[in-house]
Amino acid sequence: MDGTPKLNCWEARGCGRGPDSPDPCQAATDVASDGVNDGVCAGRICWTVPRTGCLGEPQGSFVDKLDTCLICDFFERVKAEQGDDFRLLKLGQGVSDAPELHATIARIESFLRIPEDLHAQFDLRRLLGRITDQAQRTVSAERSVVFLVEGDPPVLRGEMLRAGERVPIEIPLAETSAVGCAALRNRPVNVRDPYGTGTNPGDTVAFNTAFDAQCGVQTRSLLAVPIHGSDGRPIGVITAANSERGEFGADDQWFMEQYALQAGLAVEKAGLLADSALAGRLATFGEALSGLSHSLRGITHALNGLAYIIRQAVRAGRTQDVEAACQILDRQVQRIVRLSRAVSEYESHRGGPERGELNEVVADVVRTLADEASARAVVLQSELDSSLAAGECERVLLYRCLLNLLADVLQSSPATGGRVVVRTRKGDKEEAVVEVLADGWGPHLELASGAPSWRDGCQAHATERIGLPTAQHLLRALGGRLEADSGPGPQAAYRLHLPVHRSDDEHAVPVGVEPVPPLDGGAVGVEGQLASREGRDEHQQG
Amino acid sequence: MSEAKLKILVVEDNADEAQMVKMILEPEGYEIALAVNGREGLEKAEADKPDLIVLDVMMPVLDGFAMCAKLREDPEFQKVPVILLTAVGAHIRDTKYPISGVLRAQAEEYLEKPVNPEELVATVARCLHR
Repeated sequence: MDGTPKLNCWEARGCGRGPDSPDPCQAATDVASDGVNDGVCAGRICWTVPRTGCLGEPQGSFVDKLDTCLICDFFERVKAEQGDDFRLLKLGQGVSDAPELHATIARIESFLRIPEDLHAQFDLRRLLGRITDQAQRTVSAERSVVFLVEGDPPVLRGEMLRAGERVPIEIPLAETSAVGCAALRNRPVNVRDPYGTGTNPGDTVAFNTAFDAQCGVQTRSLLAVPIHGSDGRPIGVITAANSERGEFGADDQWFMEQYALQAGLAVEKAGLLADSALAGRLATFGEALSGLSHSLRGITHALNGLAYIIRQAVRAGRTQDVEAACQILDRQVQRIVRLSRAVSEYESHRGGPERGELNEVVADVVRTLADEASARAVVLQSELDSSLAAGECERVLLYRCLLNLLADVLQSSPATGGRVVVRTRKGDKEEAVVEVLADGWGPHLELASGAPSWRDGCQAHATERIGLPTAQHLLRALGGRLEADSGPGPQAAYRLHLPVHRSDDEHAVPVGVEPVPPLDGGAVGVEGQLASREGRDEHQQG
Repeated sequence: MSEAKLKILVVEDNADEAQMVKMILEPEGYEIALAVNGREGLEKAEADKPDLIVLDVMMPVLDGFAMCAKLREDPEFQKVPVILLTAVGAHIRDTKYPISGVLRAQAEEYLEKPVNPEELVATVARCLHR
């Protein structure tokens, strides 16, 4: 954001009701908020000010306007511009202490975004890089290294960046170092003054200065937290270290431990998927599982509860409860069977692209997501143009593309359900159009905030997330393009323009079908592929 | 004379999940009423005067956040504990509505599905000071 002026709301909106105007807005007179989010008065935290004059109309109280403020493009803009320094609330808003609390809120918000990023990464090496970055950010450390237990006899191996190069580090799996202790004792080790004496109160862990010699630094504080596999055994250690900054506190340790739980699962999964062919085949499953998250949570929730009910009912001799629980159990099992059938039908095949009828694929995606939609109280419908019956395209890619798009659309549906319609129709020339009309939120916010999923410069992030960016990535591989029509608030429309082939054209090479580039970013430029409602976007980005 | 049972209203649009919550809580000595959406939940709350409400978030007609917010507007229900029980946690990071919903709804507890039944029982007991 360097060079971009940070506007106050009256400047962004052009309402002319700044502090020097004859009729200043409430936000422009709130001197107590001066400087918050780098604004003048409450010009960059206006959502906390009651009775502001946004859009020419007096707004209500903080609570009244909260819903509209939190989806406002100016709110998103400030959030994007401030990054980690963003402050959502101000003093007096039910918050009574100093900036540390705001920092904690920001930290928690940013922390909540981590699992999705981690679990969408299938490549172990890239995942370890991601963990290193995120761990470092999570505790504001100067550096971080992730060690994995490897080899026979086992040692802790990691890599650290030194002068732009990756330097391998190896530490014995023994109690001769803080890192080794964290792995062997299976608990965090917080070394507060490694070169002092008696510096780690209540702990017998000694810092091994050979670690610094290996890394070419002098450590002043070190936090080493074990990462576990699903069986609870340590499979590695995440370290965060400082040379200039201070020691790590109890909060840092808590965040790192929570982070390590997610990291352990992601490492284990990536290890299982080390075979890239397997990773490719399982991409469909991964995306489907993510797209069906609500539904699967519901099923797991029911199974959990039913196991408990049956156990309790058997103990108490309540046979009627056992019977009723078993009936519900049967229905949950049927849900799982239906979902797994729907997904396994589209497991990626090893034999190259396979064509399928467009309408059939669309119907299958809608069928796959029917349970998810129902769990979200969303009505999901398809309206298929029968004149497209002979139109074909690469079925697995299209299935994955629609699955990702609809997963995003369902996630953005209002809590009171909503309606999503998937339509097919003929487009220009040899093209079909799949339209998705939803009454939830569209990509308007991403457009307004310049979020990476839709913009240049951050493609790596864009292509690794499950959802809309991945849909766009797959659509490009299909030779298609996406248009989105979305404004502030609910209502969104997406149009996928796809090249199709006639089913009787057996020898035709599928037009526009390219091998799917790896989901490693950099390959997909999305600029220019998105057409959006012009007037609104100009306003949003203003 | 036996003590009157405490009443719990479970508002959940998925019939199986609603039944399941009922079957978990009923043996603990509570009287359970069910409603399938927020609007029906408000009507039953008005009629039954529950001591605690277990609320799903995503429901047709009137969602859990909105129902909870409406309850809080009514002085009679301002102190009635509400437990939000939902799978929406996966995107609570998203400020599009969940955070505003949680702030505005003023629920006592927010349990993410899949919920551990023991945790649900303990949470209900804690909210009812049992």
